[in-house]
Amino acid sequence: MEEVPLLKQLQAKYANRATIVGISIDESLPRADATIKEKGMTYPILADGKGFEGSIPVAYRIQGTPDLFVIDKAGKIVKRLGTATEIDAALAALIDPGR
Amino acid sequence: MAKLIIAALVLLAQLQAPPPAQDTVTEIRGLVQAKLWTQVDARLDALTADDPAWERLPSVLYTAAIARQDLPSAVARLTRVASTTTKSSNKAAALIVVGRVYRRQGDFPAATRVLKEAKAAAPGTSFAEDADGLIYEIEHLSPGLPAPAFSGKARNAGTISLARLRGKPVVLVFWGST
Repeated sequence: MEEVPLLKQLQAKYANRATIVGISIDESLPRADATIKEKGMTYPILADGKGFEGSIPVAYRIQGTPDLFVIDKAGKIVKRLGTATEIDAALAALIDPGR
Repeated sequence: MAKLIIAALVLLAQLQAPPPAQDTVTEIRGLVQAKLWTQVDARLDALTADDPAWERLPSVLYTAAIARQDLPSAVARLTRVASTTTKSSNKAAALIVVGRVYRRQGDFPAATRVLKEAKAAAPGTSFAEDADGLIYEIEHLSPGLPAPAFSGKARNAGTISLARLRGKPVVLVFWGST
């Protein structure tokens, strides 16, 4: 959760070149909505209120948070990260592989 | 007098009884955190393959192997435990970590084979569940594989579909309110 400011920065930085999607593992939709509002999350957030049993967390086998997946433009998994701090480098490599 | 003898016998039994598994695991984890590798190895050497601590020690060994950059010797020790123990839980726990090492090294076929062996050793247990989960990760979530599809209405925006985001990289951030 302390990573929200960084995610907002990255969303602004990569505005039209990459997409950040948040997936809440909250077991309460009102709770998720309150956090989205309180933290001012600017990127889209999916939530079903089913916690770790929700269809997306199950498909990605999420057992704890934060947990992040970087996906390339063809929809393939590039890497799984345990923190948002490595996203910038990962996205830069995907957008400008020559760098 | 009889009470005294009983007390003495109880004391003697306590002195001779092996420490509970939990203590052994805690102790070795402490040695790993302090990076006292010689002592870690000596402590592990002293355990039999059937020691109940081996149910939880393999994951401690995994952490240690990464810290000391020596995955092969951890694999060798865990393989030895798995092949000599008579306890199915010790065997499964050891093989699961061997599978994790192989996965980390990028050898997915070897990882899958060992994880299936772990599952077969302790069917219906939490070890089998762990092995299943890791096999699922290898088969569905490894780098290079298509990310599992999803779509839905965002709480704070329109409908999001992973398929429709093709053409640009995507970062999925799983989070929970704290």
